[in-house]
Amino acid sequence: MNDLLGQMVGWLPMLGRPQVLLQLALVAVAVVVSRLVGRRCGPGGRSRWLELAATGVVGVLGWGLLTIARQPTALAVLLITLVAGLQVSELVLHRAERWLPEDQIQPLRHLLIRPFLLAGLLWTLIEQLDTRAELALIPLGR
Amino acid sequence: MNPALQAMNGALRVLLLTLPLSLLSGCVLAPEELRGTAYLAISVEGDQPLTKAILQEEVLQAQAIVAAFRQLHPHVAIETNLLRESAFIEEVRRRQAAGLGPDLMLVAGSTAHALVEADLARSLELPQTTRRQVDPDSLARLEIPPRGLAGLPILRRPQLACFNRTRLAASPTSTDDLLREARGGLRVGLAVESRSLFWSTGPLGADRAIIAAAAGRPLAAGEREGLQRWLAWLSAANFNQQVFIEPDPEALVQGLLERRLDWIPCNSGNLSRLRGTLGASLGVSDLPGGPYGPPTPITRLRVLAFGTDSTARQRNVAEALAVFALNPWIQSTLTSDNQDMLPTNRFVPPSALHTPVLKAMQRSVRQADASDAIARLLPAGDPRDRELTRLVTAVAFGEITATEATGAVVRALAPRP
Repeated sequence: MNDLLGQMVGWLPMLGRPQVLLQLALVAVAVVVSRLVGRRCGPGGRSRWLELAATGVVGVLGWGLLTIARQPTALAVLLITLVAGLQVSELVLHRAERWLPEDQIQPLRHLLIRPFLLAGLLWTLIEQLDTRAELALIPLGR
Repeated sequence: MNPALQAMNGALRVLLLTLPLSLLSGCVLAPEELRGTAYLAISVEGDQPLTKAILQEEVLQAQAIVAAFRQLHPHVAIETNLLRESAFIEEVRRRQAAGLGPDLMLVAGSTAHALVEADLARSLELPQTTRRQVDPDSLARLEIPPRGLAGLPILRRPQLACFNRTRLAASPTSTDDLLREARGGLRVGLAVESRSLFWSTGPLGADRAIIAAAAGRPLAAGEREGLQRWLAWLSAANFNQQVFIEPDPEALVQGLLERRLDWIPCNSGNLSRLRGTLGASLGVSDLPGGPYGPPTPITRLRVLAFGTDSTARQRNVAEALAVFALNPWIQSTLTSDNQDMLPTNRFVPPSALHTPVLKAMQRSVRQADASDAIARLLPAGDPRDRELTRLVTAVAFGEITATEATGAVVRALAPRP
Protein backbone atom coordinates (compact mmCIF):
# COMPACT_ATOMS: atom_id res chain seq x y z
CA MET A 1 0.00 0.00 0.00
CA ASN A 2 2.91 2.35 0.79
CA ASP A 3 4.28 1.65 -2.67
CA LEU A 4 0.93 2.55 -4.24
CA LEU A 5 0.72 5.81 -2.24
CA GLY A 6 4.37 6.49 -3.03
CA GLN A 7 3.66 6.08 -6.74
CA MET A 8 0.73 8.50 -6.52
CA VAL A 9 2.41 11.17 -4.35
CA GLY A 10 5.75 10.84 -6.14
CA TRP A 11 4.40 12.66 -9.18
CA LEU A 12 3.34 15.81 -7.25
CA PRO A 13 6.63 17.73 -7.81
CA MET A 14 5.79 17.72 -11.52
CA LEU A 15 3.18 20.37 -10.65
CA GLY A 16 6.07 22.82 -10.23
CA ARG A 17 6.88 22.79 -13.95
CA PRO A 18 6.02 26.15 -15.57
CA GLN A 19 4.10 24.48 -18.40
CA VAL A 20 1.97 22.57 -15.84
CA LEU A 21 1.44 25.71 -13.72
CA LEU A 22 0.19 27.55 -16.82
CA GLN A 23 -2.41 24.83 -17.40
CA LEU A 24 -3.48 24.86 -13.73
CA ALA A 25 -3.75 28.66 -13.90
CA LEU A 26 -6.03 28.36 -16.95
CA VAL A 27 -8.27 25.93 -15.04
CA ALA A 28 -8.36 28.30 -12.06
CA VAL A 29 -9.32 31.23 -14.33
CA ALA A 30 -12.07 29.14 -15.96
CA VAL A 31 -13.48 28.20 -12.53
CA VAL A 32 -13.34 31.77 -11.18
CA VAL A 33 -14.88 33.33 -14.31
CA SER A 34 -17.72 30.79 -14.44
CA ARG A 35 -18.40 31.33 -10.72
CA LEU A 36 -18.51 35.11 -11.14
CA VAL A 37 -20.86 34.77 -14.11
CA GLY A 38 -23.05 32.33 -12.15
CA ARG A 39 -23.22 34.62 -9.12
CA ARG A 40 -24.13 37.67 -11.15
CA CYS A 41 -27.16 35.89 -12.60
CA GLY A 42 -28.42 34.50 -9.27
CA PRO A 43 -29.75 30.96 -8.67
CA GLY A 44 -31.71 29.08 -11.31
CA GLY A 45 -31.30 27.11 -14.50
CA ARG A 46 -30.19 30.10 -16.60
CA SER A 47 -27.17 30.81 -14.37
CA ARG A 48 -26.08 27.18 -14.67
CA TRP A 49 -26.19 27.43 -18.44
CA LEU A 50 -24.16 30.63 -18.29
CA GLU A 51 -21.60 29.04 -15.94
CA LEU A 52 -21.16 26.16 -18.35
CA ALA A 53 -20.87 28.56 -21.29
CA ALA A 54 -18.29 30.67 -19.41
CA THR A 55 -16.21 27.56 -18.63
CA GLY A 56 -16.38 26.57 -22.29
CA VAL A 57 -15.45 30.04 -23.59
CA VAL A 58 -12.54 30.52 -21.17
CA GLY A 59 -11.41 26.94 -21.78
CA VAL A 60 -11.41 27.30 -25.58
CA LEU A 61 -9.73 30.73 -25.48
CA GLY A 62 -7.07 29.50 -23.04
CA TRP A 63 -6.51 26.35 -25.06
CA GLY A 64 -6.06 28.46 -28.21
CA LEU A 65 -3.57 30.78 -26.50
CA LEU A 66 -1.56 27.86 -25.07
CA THR A 67 -1.53 26.14 -28.46
CA ILE A 68 -0.35 29.31 -30.21
CA ALA A 69 2.40 29.63 -27.57
CA ARG A 70 3.30 25.95 -28.30
CA GLN A 71 2.58 24.99 -24.70
CA PRO A 72 1.08 21.66 -23.60
CA THR A 73 -2.68 21.65 -23.03
CA ALA A 74 -3.80 18.06 -22.29
CA LEU A 75 -3.89 18.46 -18.50
CA ALA A 76 -5.89 21.71 -18.76
CA VAL A 77 -8.33 20.06 -21.19
CA LEU A 78 -8.79 17.13 -18.79
CA LEU A 79 -9.44 19.33 -15.73
CA ILE A 80 -11.73 21.76 -17.59
CA THR A 81 -13.68 18.77 -18.93
CA LEU A 82 -14.13 17.64 -15.32
CA VAL A 83 -15.34 21.09 -14.26
CA ALA A 84 -17.71 21.21 -17.25
CA GLY A 85 -18.85 17.67 -16.41
CA LEU A 86 -19.76 18.78 -12.89
CA GLN A 87 -21.65 21.77 -14.28
CA VAL A 88 -23.55 19.61 -16.78
CA SER A 89 -24.46 17.18 -13.98
CA GLU A 90 -25.83 20.10 -11.93
CA LEU A 91 -27.88 21.22 -14.92
CA VAL A 92 -29.31 17.73 -15.37
CA LEU A 93 -30.06 17.39 -11.66
CA HIS A 94 -31.75 20.80 -11.67
CA ARG A 95 -34.05 19.60 -14.45
CA ALA A 96 -34.61 16.32 -12.64
CA GLU A 97 -35.95 18.20 -9.59
CA ARG A 98 -39.26 18.49 -11.49
CA TRP A 99 -39.93 14.79 -11.45
CA LEU A 100 -37.52 13.35 -8.82
CA PRO A 101 -37.94 13.94 -5.07
CA GLU A 102 -35.09 15.81 -3.31
CA ASP A 103 -34.14 12.77 -1.18
CA GLN A 104 -33.34 10.85 -4.39
CA ILE A 105 -31.41 13.66 -6.02
CA GLN A 106 -28.84 13.94 -3.23
CA PRO A 107 -27.71 10.28 -3.40
CA LEU A 108 -27.61 10.55 -7.17
CA ARG A 109 -25.32 13.57 -6.88
CA HIS A 110 -23.07 12.33 -4.07
CA LEU A 111 -23.03 8.57 -4.58
CA LEU A 112 -23.13 8.27 -8.34
CA ILE A 113 -22.28 11.32 -10.46
CA ARG A 114 -19.43 12.91 -8.50
CA PRO A 115 -17.65 9.66 -7.56
CA PHE A 116 -17.97 8.58 -11.21
CA LEU A 117 -16.44 11.84 -12.49
CA LEU A 118 -13.66 11.75 -9.86
CA ALA A 119 -12.88 8.11 -10.63
CA GLY A 120 -12.70 9.03 -14.32
CA LEU A 121 -10.29 11.87 -13.50
CA LEU A 122 -8.10 9.60 -11.34
CA TRP A 123 -8.08 6.88 -14.00
CA THR A 124 -7.06 9.34 -16.72
CA LEU A 125 -4.36 10.85 -14.50
CA ILE A 126 -2.95 7.38 -13.77
CA GLU A 127 -2.97 6.70 -17.51
CA GLN A 128 -1.17 9.99 -18.03
CA LEU A 129 1.44 9.54 -15.32
CA ASP A 130 1.84 5.86 -14.66
CA THR A 131 1.41 2.45 -16.16
CA ARG A 132 -1.52 0.29 -15.16
CA ALA A 133 0.46 -2.90 -15.75
CA GLU A 134 3.14 -1.63 -13.40
CA LEU A 135 0.63 -0.58 -10.71
CA ALA A 136 -0.96 -4.02 -10.91
CA LEU A 137 2.36 -5.57 -9.88
CA ILE A 138 2.73 -3.49 -6.72
CA PRO A 139 2.31 -5.84 -3.76
CA LEU A 140 -0.61 -4.59 -1.67
CA GLY A 141 -1.28 -5.07 2.05
CA ARG A 142 2.36 -5.32 3.02
CA MET B 1 -24.72 27.43 -1.56
CA ASN B 2 -25.01 25.63 -4.87
CA PRO B 3 -23.19 22.25 -4.53
CA ALA B 4 -21.47 22.76 -7.90
CA LEU B 5 -20.16 26.07 -6.63
CA GLN B 6 -19.01 24.41 -3.39
CA ALA B 7 -17.15 21.75 -5.35
CA MET B 8 -15.55 24.35 -7.56
CA ASN B 9 -14.60 26.38 -4.48
CA GLY B 10 -12.83 23.30 -3.17
CA ALA B 11 -11.02 22.76 -6.45
CA LEU B 12 -10.05 26.42 -6.52
CA ARG B 13 -8.65 26.21 -2.97
CA VAL B 14 -6.55 23.20 -3.95
CA LEU B 15 -5.25 24.98 -7.04
CA LEU B 16 -4.51 28.20 -5.14
CA LEU B 17 -2.65 26.17 -2.47
CA THR B 18 -0.58 24.07 -4.88
CA LEU B 19 0.52 26.99 -7.06
CA PRO B 20 2.42 28.97 -4.39
CA LEU B 21 3.65 25.78 -2.66
CA SER B 22 5.22 24.44 -5.80
CA LEU B 23 6.75 27.85 -6.52
CA LEU B 24 8.01 28.24 -2.95
CA SER B 25 9.65 24.82 -2.96
CA GLY B 26 12.23 26.23 -5.40
CA CYS B 27 13.25 29.21 -3.27
CA VAL B 28 14.65 27.81 -0.04
CA LEU B 29 17.47 25.58 -1.21
CA ALA B 30 21.18 25.96 -0.99
CA PRO B 31 22.36 26.47 -4.58
CA GLU B 32 25.35 24.11 -4.42
CA GLU B 33 23.43 21.09 -3.12
CA LEU B 34 21.73 18.83 -5.65
CA ARG B 35 18.05 18.49 -4.75
CA GLY B 36 14.77 17.72 -6.37
CA THR B 37 12.89 14.97 -8.08
CA ALA B 38 13.63 13.69 -11.55
CA TYR B 39 11.38 11.36 -13.52
CA LEU B 40 12.95 8.38 -15.19
CA ALA B 41 10.98 6.34 -17.74
CA ILE B 42 12.41 2.89 -18.45
CA SER B 43 11.44 0.97 -21.57
CA VAL B 44 10.60 -2.72 -21.42
CA GLU B 45 11.21 -4.66 -24.63
CA GLY B 46 8.86 -7.30 -26.03
CA ASP B 47 5.08 -7.60 -26.09
CA GLN B 48 4.79 -10.37 -23.53
CA PRO B 49 2.56 -9.86 -20.47
CA LEU B 50 4.65 -8.13 -17.82
CA THR B 51 5.59 -10.18 -14.80
CA LYS B 52 7.48 -9.09 -11.74
CA ALA B 53 10.55 -11.07 -12.89
CA ILE B 54 10.60 -9.35 -16.31
CA LEU B 55 10.20 -5.92 -14.75
CA GLN B 56 12.99 -6.58 -12.27
CA GLU B 57 15.21 -7.70 -15.12
CA GLU B 58 14.64 -4.38 -16.87
CA VAL B 59 15.08 -2.17 -13.80
CA LEU B 60 17.89 -4.08 -12.05
CA GLN B 61 20.74 -1.87 -13.21
CA ALA B 62 18.69 1.34 -13.09
CA GLN B 63 17.75 0.61 -9.46
CA ALA B 64 21.39 -0.03 -8.54
CA ILE B 65 22.50 3.22 -10.22
CA VAL B 66 19.73 5.23 -8.53
CA ALA B 67 20.45 3.69 -5.10
CA ALA B 68 24.18 4.52 -5.33
CA PHE B 69 23.40 8.02 -6.68
CA ARG B 70 21.05 8.69 -3.76
CA GLN B 71 23.78 7.76 -1.29
CA LEU B 72 25.84 10.53 -2.81
CA HIS B 73 22.91 12.98 -3.11
CA PRO B 74 20.43 12.11 -0.34
CA HIS B 75 18.12 15.03 -1.16
CA VAL B 76 17.42 13.77 -4.62
CA ALA B 77 14.48 11.53 -5.50
CA ILE B 78 14.15 9.59 -8.73
CA GLU B 79 10.65 8.47 -9.69
CA THR B 80 10.70 5.59 -12.13
CA ASN B 81 8.04 4.54 -14.57
CA LEU B 82 8.07 1.53 -16.88
CA LEU B 83 6.73 1.76 -20.40
CA ARG B 84 6.73 -0.72 -23.25
CA GLU B 85 9.40 -0.10 -25.86
CA SER B 86 6.86 -0.60 -28.70
CA ALA B 87 4.55 2.10 -27.30
CA PHE B 88 7.28 4.22 -25.69
CA ILE B 89 7.24 7.11 -28.17
CA GLU B 90 3.44 7.38 -28.13
CA GLU B 91 3.37 7.27 -24.32
CA VAL B 92 6.04 9.98 -24.00
CA ARG B 93 4.21 12.10 -26.60
CA ARG B 94 0.97 11.75 -24.59
CA ARG B 95 2.69 12.76 -21.35
CA GLN B 96 4.46 15.69 -22.98
CA ALA B 97 1.12 16.92 -24.35
CA ALA B 98 0.22 17.52 -20.70
CA GLY B 99 3.67 18.88 -19.74
CA LEU B 100 4.26 15.72 -17.71
CA GLY B 101 6.99 14.10 -19.81
CA PRO B 102 9.92 12.30 -18.15
CA ASP B 103 13.24 14.05 -17.47
CA LEU B 104 15.28 10.98 -18.31
CA MET B 105 14.52 7.92 -20.41
CA LEU B 106 16.41 4.63 -20.30
CA VAL B 107 15.72 3.17 -23.73
CA ALA B 108 17.18 1.19 -26.64
CA GLY B 109 19.53 3.11 -28.93
CA SER B 110 17.04 3.13 -31.83
CA THR B 111 14.29 4.52 -29.56
CA ALA B 112 16.64 7.31 -28.43
CA HIS B 113 17.14 8.29 -32.09
CA ALA B 114 13.38 8.20 -32.73
CA LEU B 115 12.73 10.34 -29.62
CA VAL B 116 15.15 13.04 -30.77
CA GLU B 117 13.69 12.98 -34.31
CA ALA B 118 10.18 13.42 -32.86
CA ASP B 119 11.36 16.35 -30.65
CA LEU B 120 10.52 14.34 -27.55
CA ALA B 121 14.14 14.29 -26.36
CA ARG B 122 16.96 16.77 -26.78
CA SER B 123 20.19 15.82 -28.48
CA LEU B 124 23.43 16.03 -26.50
CA GLU B 125 26.83 17.46 -27.14
CA LEU B 126 29.25 15.67 -24.87
CA PRO B 127 32.41 17.40 -23.70
CA GLN B 128 35.51 15.83 -25.23
CA THR B 129 36.63 14.43 -21.85
CA THR B 130 33.36 12.51 -21.40
CA ARG B 131 33.29 11.44 -25.06
CA ARG B 132 36.74 9.90 -24.70
CA GLN B 133 35.47 7.71 -21.83
CA VAL B 134 32.68 6.10 -23.85
CA ASP B 135 33.01 3.05 -26.08
CA PRO B 136 33.33 4.48 -29.63
CA ASP B 137 31.03 1.87 -31.27
CA SER B 138 28.24 2.73 -28.85
CA LEU B 139 28.75 6.44 -29.57
CA ALA B 140 28.70 5.78 -33.32
CA ARG B 141 25.28 4.11 -33.01
CA LEU B 142 23.89 7.25 -31.33
CA GLU B 143 25.49 9.91 -33.48
CA ILE B 144 23.37 12.67 -34.97
CA PRO B 145 25.52 14.54 -37.49
CA PRO B 146 27.48 16.74 -37.16
CA ARG B 147 28.33 16.43 -33.44
CA GLY B 148 25.14 15.56 -31.60
CA LEU B 149 24.20 12.37 -29.79
CA ALA B 150 20.71 10.90 -29.31
CA GLY B 151 21.60 9.94 -25.73
CA LEU B 152 24.29 8.73 -23.39
CA PRO B 153 25.05 5.00 -23.77
CA ILE B 154 25.03 3.43 -20.31
CA LEU B 155 25.21 -0.33 -20.80
CA ARG B 156 25.47 -2.98 -23.50
CA ARG B 157 23.52 -6.21 -23.53
CA PRO B 158 25.11 -8.61 -26.00
CA GLN B 159 23.36 -11.59 -27.57
CA LEU B 160 24.62 -14.99 -26.41
CA ALA B 161 23.83 -18.69 -26.51
CA CYS B 162 22.15 -19.93 -23.31
CA PHE B 163 21.80 -23.65 -22.71
CA ASN B 164 21.04 -26.27 -20.12
CA ARG B 165 24.34 -27.89 -19.05
CA THR B 166 22.57 -31.03 -17.87
CA ARG B 167 21.58 -31.68 -21.50
CA LEU B 168 24.64 -30.31 -23.30
CA ALA B 169 28.26 -29.96 -22.11
CA ALA B 170 29.19 -27.11 -24.44
CA SER B 171 27.32 -24.94 -26.95
CA PRO B 172 27.69 -26.03 -30.64
CA THR B 173 30.34 -23.98 -32.44
CA SER B 174 28.68 -23.96 -35.85
CA THR B 175 25.16 -23.71 -37.24
CA ASP B 176 25.59 -27.17 -38.84
CA ASP B 177 26.57 -28.65 -35.45
CA LEU B 178 23.52 -26.98 -33.93
CA LEU B 179 21.13 -28.71 -36.35
CA ARG B 180 23.12 -31.99 -35.97
CA GLU B 181 22.72 -31.80 -32.18
CA ALA B 182 19.01 -31.10 -32.72
CA ARG B 183 18.71 -34.25 -34.85
CA GLY B 184 20.38 -36.07 -31.94
CA GLY B 185 17.67 -34.92 -29.52
CA LEU B 186 18.77 -31.45 -28.37
CA ARG B 187 15.71 -29.22 -28.11
CA VAL B 188 16.72 -26.00 -29.88
CA GLY B 189 14.62 -22.84 -29.70
CA LEU B 190 14.68 -20.12 -32.35
CA ALA B 191 12.56 -16.97 -32.42
CA VAL B 192 11.25 -15.72 -35.75
CA GLU B 193 11.62 -12.08 -34.71
CA SER B 194 14.22 -10.84 -37.19
CA ARG B 195 16.49 -9.16 -34.61
CA SER B 196 16.64 -12.32 -32.54
CA LEU B 197 17.56 -14.35 -35.63
CA PHE B 198 19.99 -11.97 -37.29
CA TRP B 199 22.97 -13.66 -35.55
CA SER B 200 22.52 -16.63 -37.94
CA THR B 201 22.86 -14.54 -41.13
CA GLY B 202 26.67 -14.20 -40.74
CA PRO B 203 27.41 -17.95 -40.47
CA LEU B 204 25.30 -18.57 -43.60
CA GLY B 205 26.59 -15.59 -45.56
CA ALA B 206 23.35 -13.58 -45.68
CA ASP B 207 24.35 -10.59 -43.53
CA ARG B 208 25.78 -8.56 -46.43
CA ALA B 209 22.66 -9.16 -48.53
CA ILE B 210 20.39 -7.87 -45.74
CA ILE B 211 22.60 -4.82 -45.12
CA ALA B 212 22.77 -4.08 -48.88
CA ALA B 213 19.00 -4.48 -49.29
CA ALA B 214 18.28 -2.28 -46.24
CA ALA B 215 20.67 0.38 -47.58
CA GLY B 216 18.90 0.27 -50.96
CA ARG B 217 21.93 -1.09 -52.86
CA PRO B 218 21.40 -3.72 -55.59
CA LEU B 219 22.45 -7.23 -54.51
CA ALA B 220 25.40 -9.02 -56.09
CA ALA B 221 24.69 -12.60 -57.23
CA GLY B 222 26.73 -14.01 -54.31
CA GLU B 223 24.79 -11.89 -51.81
CA ARG B 224 21.45 -13.08 -53.19
CA GLU B 225 22.66 -16.69 -52.94
CA GLY B 226 23.70 -16.07 -49.30
CA LEU B 227 20.25 -14.70 -48.49
CA GLN B 228 18.58 -17.73 -50.10
CA ARG B 229 20.93 -20.07 -48.20
CA TRP B 230 19.94 -18.49 -44.88
CA LEU B 231 16.22 -18.74 -45.66
CA ALA B 232 16.71 -22.37 -46.76
CA TRP B 233 18.51 -23.08 -43.45
CA LEU B 234 15.54 -21.66 -41.55
CA SER B 235 13.17 -23.75 -43.62
CA ALA B 236 15.29 -26.88 -42.96
CA ALA B 237 15.38 -26.06 -39.25
CA ASN B 238 11.59 -26.12 -39.20
CA PHE B 239 11.51 -29.65 -40.67
CA ASN B 240 13.56 -30.81 -37.70
CA GLN B 241 11.17 -32.02 -35.00
CA GLN B 242 13.54 -30.86 -32.25
CA VAL B 243 13.82 -27.25 -33.46
CA PHE B 244 11.06 -25.20 -31.89
CA ILE B 245 10.12 -21.99 -33.62
CA GLU B 246 8.79 -19.41 -31.13
CA PRO B 247 7.30 -15.98 -31.83
CA ASP B 248 9.71 -13.87 -29.75
CA PRO B 249 12.83 -14.06 -27.55
CA GLU B 250 10.78 -14.01 -24.34
CA ALA B 251 9.07 -17.27 -25.36
CA LEU B 252 12.55 -18.80 -25.74
CA VAL B 253 13.58 -17.66 -22.26
CA GLN B 254 10.38 -19.15 -20.83
CA GLY B 255 11.12 -22.41 -22.69
CA LEU B 256 14.60 -22.67 -21.16
CA LEU B 257 13.29 -21.70 -17.71
CA GLU B 258 10.61 -24.41 -17.88
CA ARG B 259 13.19 -26.88 -19.31
CA ARG B 260 11.10 -27.36 -22.47
CA LEU B 261 14.13 -26.11 -24.48
CA ASP B 262 17.82 -26.96 -24.07
CA TRP B 263 19.51 -24.31 -26.23
CA ILE B 264 18.39 -20.79 -27.17
CA PRO B 265 19.88 -17.53 -28.39
CA CYS B 266 19.44 -15.18 -25.41
CA ASN B 267 20.25 -11.65 -24.42
CA SER B 268 22.67 -11.00 -21.55
CA GLY B 269 19.86 -9.07 -19.86
CA ASN B 270 18.03 -12.38 -19.33
CA LEU B 271 20.92 -13.99 -17.44
CA SER B 272 19.93 -12.97 -13.89
CA ARG B 273 16.47 -14.49 -14.37
CA LEU B 274 17.86 -17.66 -15.98
CA ARG B 275 20.51 -18.06 -13.23
CA GLY B 276 17.82 -17.66 -10.58
CA THR B 277 15.96 -20.72 -11.89
CA LEU B 278 18.60 -22.89 -13.58
CA GLY B 279 21.47 -22.12 -11.17
CA ALA B 280 24.66 -24.02 -12.05
CA SER B 281 22.94 -25.82 -14.94
CA LEU B 282 22.90 -22.60 -16.97
CA GLY B 283 25.56 -22.60 -19.66
CA VAL B 284 26.49 -19.37 -21.45
CA SER B 285 28.59 -19.09 -24.58
CA ASP B 286 28.96 -17.01 -27.71
CA LEU B 287 26.69 -17.97 -30.60
CA PRO B 288 27.73 -20.54 -33.24
CA GLY B 289 29.56 -19.47 -36.37
CA GLY B 290 29.30 -21.21 -39.74
CA PRO B 291 30.99 -21.99 -43.04
CA TYR B 292 30.54 -18.41 -44.29
CA GLY B 293 31.67 -16.47 -41.25
CA PRO B 294 31.30 -15.75 -37.54
CA PRO B 295 27.88 -15.09 -35.97
CA THR B 296 26.40 -11.61 -36.34
CA PRO B 297 24.63 -10.98 -33.03
CA ILE B 298 22.95 -7.67 -32.25
CA THR B 299 24.01 -5.93 -29.05
CA ARG B 300 21.21 -4.12 -27.28
CA LEU B 301 22.38 -0.69 -26.25
CA ARG B 302 20.68 0.93 -23.26
CA VAL B 303 20.81 4.68 -23.50
CA LEU B 304 19.85 7.59 -21.27
CA ALA B 305 17.92 10.16 -23.32
CA PHE B 306 16.95 13.56 -21.91
CA GLY B 307 13.37 14.84 -21.95
CA THR B 308 12.36 18.35 -23.01
CA ASP B 309 9.84 19.18 -20.25
CA SER B 310 12.30 19.47 -17.34
CA THR B 311 12.73 22.48 -15.08
CA ALA B 312 16.32 23.71 -14.56
CA ARG B 313 16.56 21.71 -11.34
CA GLN B 314 15.13 18.52 -12.84
CA ARG B 315 17.58 18.92 -15.70
CA ASN B 316 20.49 19.27 -13.24
CA VAL B 317 19.44 16.11 -11.40
CA ALA B 318 18.98 14.21 -14.66
CA GLU B 319 22.37 15.25 -16.01
CA ALA B 320 24.14 14.48 -12.72
CA LEU B 321 22.52 11.02 -12.67
CA ALA B 322 23.58 10.35 -16.28
CA VAL B 323 27.19 11.38 -15.61
CA PHE B 324 27.16 9.23 -12.45
CA ALA B 325 25.87 6.22 -14.40
CA LEU B 326 28.88 6.50 -16.69
CA ASN B 327 31.43 6.54 -13.88
CA PRO B 328 33.87 3.58 -14.09
CA TRP B 329 33.27 2.56 -10.48
CA ILE B 330 29.47 2.14 -10.80
CA GLN B 331 29.84 0.53 -14.25
CA SER B 332 32.40 -1.95 -12.95
CA THR B 333 30.24 -2.76 -9.88
CA LEU B 334 27.15 -3.35 -12.05
CA THR B 335 29.11 -5.52 -14.46
CA SER B 336 30.79 -7.76 -11.91
CA ASP B 337 27.83 -7.99 -9.48
CA ASN B 338 25.23 -9.21 -11.96
CA GLN B 339 27.32 -10.36 -14.94
CA ASP B 340 24.47 -9.58 -17.29
CA MET B 341 25.80 -6.53 -19.11
CA LEU B 342 28.96 -4.91 -20.40
CA PRO B 343 29.95 -1.38 -19.45
CA THR B 344 30.11 1.47 -21.97
CA ASN B 345 32.94 3.22 -20.12
CA ARG B 346 36.26 2.22 -21.67
CA PHE B 347 38.09 2.81 -18.38
CA VAL B 348 36.43 -0.01 -16.43
CA PRO B 349 39.42 -2.08 -15.26
CA PRO B 350 39.89 -5.31 -17.26
CA SER B 351 40.00 -7.25 -13.96
CA ALA B 352 36.26 -6.50 -13.63
CA LEU B 353 35.62 -8.31 -16.95
CA HIS B 354 37.57 -11.47 -16.27
CA THR B 355 34.90 -14.18 -15.90
CA PRO B 356 34.01 -16.70 -18.67
CA VAL B 357 30.51 -15.21 -19.04
CA LEU B 358 31.83 -11.66 -19.44
CA LYS B 359 34.47 -12.90 -21.87
CA ALA B 360 31.76 -14.57 -23.98
CA MET B 361 29.92 -11.21 -23.92
CA GLN B 362 33.04 -9.39 -25.08
CA ARG B 363 33.45 -11.84 -27.97
CA SER B 364 29.80 -11.33 -28.86
CA VAL B 365 30.25 -7.54 -28.86
CA ARG B 366 33.27 -7.84 -31.18
CA GLN B 367 31.22 -10.05 -33.53
CA ALA B 368 28.35 -7.56 -33.27
CA ASP B 369 30.53 -4.84 -34.79
CA ALA B 370 29.71 -6.46 -38.15
CA SER B 371 25.98 -6.28 -37.46
CA ASP B 372 25.95 -2.73 -36.02
CA ALA B 373 25.18 -1.63 -39.58
CA ILE B 374 21.90 -3.54 -39.51
CA ALA B 375 20.93 -2.05 -36.14
CA ARG B 376 21.47 1.41 -37.65
CA LEU B 377 19.82 0.72 -41.02
CA LEU B 378 16.87 -1.20 -39.63
CA PRO B 379 15.94 0.14 -36.20
CA ALA B 380 13.63 -2.01 -34.06
CA GLY B 381 10.01 -1.23 -34.83
CA ASP B 382 10.78 -0.03 -38.39
CA PRO B 383 7.95 -1.27 -40.66
CA ARG B 384 10.61 -2.98 -42.84
CA ASP B 385 11.84 -4.89 -39.78
CA ARG B 386 8.27 -6.06 -39.07
CA GLU B 387 7.87 -7.11 -42.70
CA LEU B 388 11.15 -9.08 -42.51
CA THR B 389 9.86 -10.82 -39.38
CA ARG B 390 6.62 -11.68 -41.21
CA LEU B 391 8.49 -13.16 -44.18
CA VAL B 392 10.90 -15.09 -41.94
CA THR B 393 7.88 -16.51 -40.09
CA ALA B 394 6.29 -17.57 -43.38
CA VAL B 395 9.50 -19.37 -44.43
CA ALA B 396 10.01 -20.96 -41.01
CA PHE B 397 6.48 -22.37 -41.06
CA GLY B 398 6.78 -23.54 -44.66
CA GLU B 399 4.13 -21.18 -46.07
CA ILE B 400 6.55 -19.99 -48.77
CA THR B 401 9.77 -21.48 -50.04
CA ALA B 402 13.22 -19.94 -49.51
CA THR B 403 13.45 -19.16 -53.25
CA GLU B 404 10.10 -17.33 -53.25
CA ALA B 405 11.00 -15.46 -50.06
CA THR B 406 14.40 -14.22 -51.32
CA GLY B 407 12.96 -11.65 -53.73
CA ALA B 408 10.22 -10.70 -51.26
CA VAL B 409 12.81 -10.03 -48.51
CA VAL B 410 14.85 -7.78 -50.83
CA ARG B 411 11.70 -5.84 -51.81
CA ALA B 412 10.52 -5.59 -48.18
CA LEU B 413 13.88 -4.22 -47.00
CA ALA B 414 14.18 -1.53 -49.67
CA PRO B 415 14.24 1.91 -48.01
CA ARG B 416 10.93 3.76 -48.26
CA PRO B 417 11.09 7.16 -49.92
